[in-house]
Amino acid sequence: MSGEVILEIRDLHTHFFLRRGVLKAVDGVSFTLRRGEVLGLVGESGCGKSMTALSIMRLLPKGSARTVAGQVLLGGDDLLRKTPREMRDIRGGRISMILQDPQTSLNPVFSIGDQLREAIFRRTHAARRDVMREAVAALRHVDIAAPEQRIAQYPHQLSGGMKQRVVGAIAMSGHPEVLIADEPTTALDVTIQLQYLKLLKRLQQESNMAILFITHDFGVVARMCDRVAVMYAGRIVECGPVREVFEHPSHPYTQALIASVPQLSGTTGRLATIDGQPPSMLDLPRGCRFAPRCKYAMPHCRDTYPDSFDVGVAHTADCWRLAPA
Amino acid sequence: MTGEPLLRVEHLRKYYPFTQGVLLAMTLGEVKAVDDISFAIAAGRTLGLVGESGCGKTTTSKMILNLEQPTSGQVLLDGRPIHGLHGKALREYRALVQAVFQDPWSSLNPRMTAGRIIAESLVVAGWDRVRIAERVSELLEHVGLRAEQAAQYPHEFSGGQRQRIALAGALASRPRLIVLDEPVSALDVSIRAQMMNLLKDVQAQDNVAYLLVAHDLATVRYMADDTVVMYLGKIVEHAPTRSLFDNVRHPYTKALLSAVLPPRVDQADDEIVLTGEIPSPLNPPHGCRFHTRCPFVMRRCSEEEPVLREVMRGHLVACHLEV
Repeated sequence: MSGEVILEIRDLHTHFFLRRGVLKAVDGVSFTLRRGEVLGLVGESGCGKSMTALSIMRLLPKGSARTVAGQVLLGGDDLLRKTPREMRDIRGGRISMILQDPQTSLNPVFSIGDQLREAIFRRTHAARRDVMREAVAALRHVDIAAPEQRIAQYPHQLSGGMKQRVVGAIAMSGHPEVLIADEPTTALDVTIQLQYLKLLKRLQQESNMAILFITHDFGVVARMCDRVAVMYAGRIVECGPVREVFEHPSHPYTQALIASVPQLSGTTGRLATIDGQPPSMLDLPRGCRFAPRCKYAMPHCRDTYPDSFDVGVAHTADCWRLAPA
Repeated sequence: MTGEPLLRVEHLRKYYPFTQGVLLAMTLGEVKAVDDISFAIAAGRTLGLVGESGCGKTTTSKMILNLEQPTSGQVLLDGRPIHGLHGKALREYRALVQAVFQDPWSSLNPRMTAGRIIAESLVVAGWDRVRIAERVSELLEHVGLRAEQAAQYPHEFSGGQRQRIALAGALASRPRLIVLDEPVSALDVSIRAQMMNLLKDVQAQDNVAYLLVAHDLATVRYMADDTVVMYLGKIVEHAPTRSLFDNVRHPYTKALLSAVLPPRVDQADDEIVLTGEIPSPLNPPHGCRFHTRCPFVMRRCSEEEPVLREVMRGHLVACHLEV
C-alpha cells in the first residue's frame, strides 16, 4: 500500500445543534486514504460513521447539522471550502457514493437507463448515441446480463442485487478517485452480498480507485479492506492494517466487539458480551468514551481522553493502557 | 427425545393464487411459497429455519402461528391439529405459541407503557390487576430489566432493551413455543450477544421451545439444536446443527456457509460463490429448484426433483449428488 494519499480527513467535527443541546456526531475524526486502498470504517449505529461520510460529501441533513471544524482534503483541495456549485461537479466526478438501500437511491419513475445516462451526460455533455453506448457499457461492466434490454427497465423490475449494481454503475460512471460505500450490502440477501463484494473488489482493483467502506460487519471488513478504522461515540479509537487489528486488537472496545461475534467454529457456549450501552451523544463522558463499559478502566480514563499510541506498524489505538511506561 | 414432539409440521403446503384483472380475475398460476415440508420441534429445544428471501420461512412461521391457513398438510401441537381451532381453543393456542419479531421499533405499540405491552396477553386471558402487576415485575427482571421500568414507554428504551420487552411479552402467558423471527438482526453487534445469551438462559429456565427463523448461519449455530435449510419453498437439508456444520452436504448450504463472512483474514479455499439471482417463486426451475445456480449441476438435476432422504443418522439432504 504505497499509493499517494488521495483523501485526508483532519480533525473533523460535525455537530447537530438541537434544542436539547449539541449532539457531537463526529468529534475529532482524522484518517487518510491512499490511491487503490480500501479503508473500512466500522462501528455500531449512532457512532458517527455515516455522518463522517456525509460530511465528506457535504450532504449533511439540512437544518441542524454543521461541520464546525476540520479539513477534508481531496488531492490536497479542501472540500469544505468549495462552493455548492463546485461541489456538484466534484460529487459523481472525483468522489462518489453508494448508499445502503438501492430501493431508495434509485428514482422509481425513471428507467435505470435515464438515471445512468443523466449521470454520464452531466459529466461529458456527449452526443445522445455516445451517452447511450457508454451507459450500456457501464451496465455490462457491473455484470448486468443483456444490458441493451435491461436499460429500458424501471427499478421495480429488477432484483435488489441488480438494483445495487445499477447504483454502483451510476456511482462509478464518472471514474471517481474515491468511492464511499455506506453499508452497500446490508439490504441484500447473504449469497447476493458475497457476489456484490466480489464485484466491487474487482472493479476497485481494475480502476485503482480508493474506497471508504462503511460497515458494522467485521466479516465484510475481512473480505474487502486493507486497513480498518474502528469508531466509537464519534471518534476513531483504533486504526491499522486489517490482519494486525484482527490478530492483535488493542483497544478494549475492538477486543470486545471481535469476541462477541458468533463464529462458525469452536464452542457454542456463552458469547462474550459488552455490558451496558454506548453513551448518549448529547452527554458524552469527559474522558475516554468507552470507560463506563470498559473492564480495564482506571480513574485517569474517566478524566482525560487518551492519546493515540502506536501499537504496531501503522497501527494505533486510543487507550491509556497502551501508554509507554 | 422420545415420544410425541411438541410441534409437528406434516407435508405443509401454501400456494398463493396469482391473478390478473380485478372484476373477472383470472388465475394465471400459483406461487408455491411453501411446498411439502415436514419437521418437528421437541419441547424445550430450538429449531433453526434458514434461507434467503422468498424461501418460504416467513410463510411457514405464519402457518405455525395460525395466522395463515395451509393449502394442504397440517401443523400439530401435542398431536392435535391447530388449523380449524375456534373460540376458546384458539385463544388457548395463542397463549401457548408466541412470537418475537425482528424489528423492536415497529413491533411495540408506542402509546403503551412497557408494562401494558407485557401484560397484553394476561389481560386477554382475564387475569386480575394485582396478579398482572406481580407477573409483569417478575418478567421484567427475568429479561434483565428493572421492575420500575414498567411505567416507561418504548421510545425511552434502546433497541436491545425493546427486544427484551418483546420477549417478556411473549413469555407472559407461559408459552411452550416461541417463534423468533430474526430476533437479533436489527440489533447492534455488541447487543446481539447479550440477547442471544438471554434467549438461551430463558430457554434453560422455562423449558420453552424456539423456532428460530434467521438468515445468519452463525447465529443459528449458537442457538439451534436442529437446523432446516430452505430454498424456494422446499427443504434442501435438515440435520442436527452439529452434524450440519461438521458435514455440510447440500451445495446451497455450502454456499450459505461461504457467505457468512468470518471476521478473519484467511479465507477458506472451498468457498462457493453463487452466480445469478434467486429465481422467482412464481416460476421455480424444473427438477431441483437450485440447479440454475448450483456449481455441481448435472443433467439429471434439471429433469428430476431430488427427494429429501437420510444420508447419515438424522441428517436429511435433497440432492442428486447423494447417491
